[in-house]
Amino acid sequence: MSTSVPSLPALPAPPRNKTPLALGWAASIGLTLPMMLFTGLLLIGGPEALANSSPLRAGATLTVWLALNAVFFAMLRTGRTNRYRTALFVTVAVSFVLTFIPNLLETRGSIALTTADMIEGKTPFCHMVIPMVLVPAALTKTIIFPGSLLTGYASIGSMLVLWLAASLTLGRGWCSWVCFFGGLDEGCSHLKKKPVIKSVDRRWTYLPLAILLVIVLASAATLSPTYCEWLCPFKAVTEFEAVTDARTLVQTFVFVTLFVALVIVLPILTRKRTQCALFCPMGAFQGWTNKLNLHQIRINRDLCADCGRCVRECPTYSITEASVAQGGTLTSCTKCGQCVDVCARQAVSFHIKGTKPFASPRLARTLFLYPAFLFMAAIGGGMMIGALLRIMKLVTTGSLL
Amino acid sequence: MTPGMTSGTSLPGRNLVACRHACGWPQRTRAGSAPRTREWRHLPGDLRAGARAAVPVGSPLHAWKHPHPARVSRRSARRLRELRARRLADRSSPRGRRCAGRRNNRLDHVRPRGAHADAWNPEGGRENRGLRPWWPGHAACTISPWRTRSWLRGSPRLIPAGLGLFSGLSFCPPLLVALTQGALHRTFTGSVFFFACFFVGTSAFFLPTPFLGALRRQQAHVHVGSFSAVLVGLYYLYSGSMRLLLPAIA
Repeated sequence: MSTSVPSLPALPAPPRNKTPLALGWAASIGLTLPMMLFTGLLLIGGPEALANSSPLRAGATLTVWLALNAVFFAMLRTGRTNRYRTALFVTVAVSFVLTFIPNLLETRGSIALTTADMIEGKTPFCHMVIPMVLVPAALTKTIIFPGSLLTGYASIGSMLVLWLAASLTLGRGWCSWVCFFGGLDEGCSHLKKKPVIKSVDRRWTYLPLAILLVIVLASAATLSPTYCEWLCPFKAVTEFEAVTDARTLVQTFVFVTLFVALVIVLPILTRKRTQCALFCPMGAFQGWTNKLNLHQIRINRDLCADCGRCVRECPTYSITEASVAQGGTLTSCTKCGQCVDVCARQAVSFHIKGTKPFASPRLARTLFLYPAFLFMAAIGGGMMIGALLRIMKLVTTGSLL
Repeated sequence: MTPGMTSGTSLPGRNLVACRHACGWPQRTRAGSAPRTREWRHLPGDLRAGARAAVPVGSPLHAWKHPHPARVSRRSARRLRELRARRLADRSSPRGRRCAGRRNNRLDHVRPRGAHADAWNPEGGRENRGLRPWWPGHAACTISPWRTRSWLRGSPRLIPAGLGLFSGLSFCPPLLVALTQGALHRTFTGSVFFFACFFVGTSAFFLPTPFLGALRRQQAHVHVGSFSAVLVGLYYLYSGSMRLLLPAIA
């Protein structure tokens, strides 16, 4: 039986430079000025601090500050979110690697972690550990991570506070705006123009939840961060336990394999953020916070032509035909703005809970962009400055250290 | 032909094709969603009536696992659709409901003629109620509940037996204790009786499983559970391998 598909009106070509979400010159400049002030306070700390720092550092700080605000201005002026966010997000991730590894080499002499370092609490805390520490902390009042609680580089307390604030504000927007690992696989996903693997079985999107379940239970049972010990792909580019026996050899092999597969190869082949969408337990955990915060992505069914472009383009498999029919995204949505950018009919838009749907998409987008960009600047700004300094050092002295 | 449909006679609805064995049960293609709702619908029956209610569960399960679309001419397909629609309407009426299950259903004698005569099933799915089929070739039709049950339960029956055998090969402490105690009896019947009691005790852990089975309706739970089981299995595989291999390497 041949079913006739009702013909839809032809879609207009997606606008290249500007969308209806774009603001005028005056509005863009007016909204960028407060952001300049906030990011200036975050990065520079005031004119005195700038004057007291070395010329090289002052130059790097000013460059990063100007670059960040130029990106924010471009977001407002063009109405495009994902294009500029991606560039900044990838830059932050690369900057993180460029600053983190030399920093470890300078302070510890090696990126390999020894037992002595762990006992001394020199391990930097990252947000990936958060799901694993919560249950043991609640049950035994113990933080099962060999890091510093309040002082030092990347302490547990500071990271927990930052995560809590970002989660309440952005939900899983953390994964597209704050996480300094996500930019690596996002960068790789943009290396090819067309995907080689065009469809992935949707059942794989449940794998992060399974990993989350297993690692939380295993961490509570063994009182050790299981994911960090066994499964974290980013250990390959940050730090890992020194290879001293067969166990650490297997661990290192797992780290490198997962990094190559999930962060490099699969993103290139699928043009998706495979590590974030199909593996990361922190992302699965973060999905629940999407229900808490106010910002959402909504799809206007009256405007939607069911062309499926948002479903195809979503980098984290967070939009399905069913979710489109319901006028929203899945809880795994990272609010990257890709679907908003690619929709030719502007049926997809940012939304604030409790407000009238689709009444003022510009306002909803601007109100989301402000905290999201501030978090990105707060986390990534320092890394970008550090990376710029390292690059300058490399150019001038021939060494990163 | 709608996307996802294989060749064959299409029936109203998505991804439905007629069974080439003329069993009257619309088959779903692999591209379509599996008729698991039927399976789910019978779950309370399963819990209440035990094995008796498992009879109709087998048919959709098998139909989902082995879809066999057939090539039927467009004319026959149209006629098939019309007849099925009329039969459905007829059975929906009070009289039809009374007649359902009996041979005097007034549309049941209507059969297409010619080469595709066997594409029509006069029983109209009545065989799923346990009536004895009479047409030739029904032996090959897997929709028969008795046949389906034997198909389904033939090899899967071996799974628990195989699992039990494998658990005996491992160093499962309760099993070792049971083995030791069983060996003390020194008689075959005594050991068997001891083991029977032992497994009755262990089956207490299976009492809540039918209630957990209610979660299978939510596919997310099923997928997360499956992936978690694989992950834990991998961990145990690694753990066991390392314990076995490391002393050998050292």
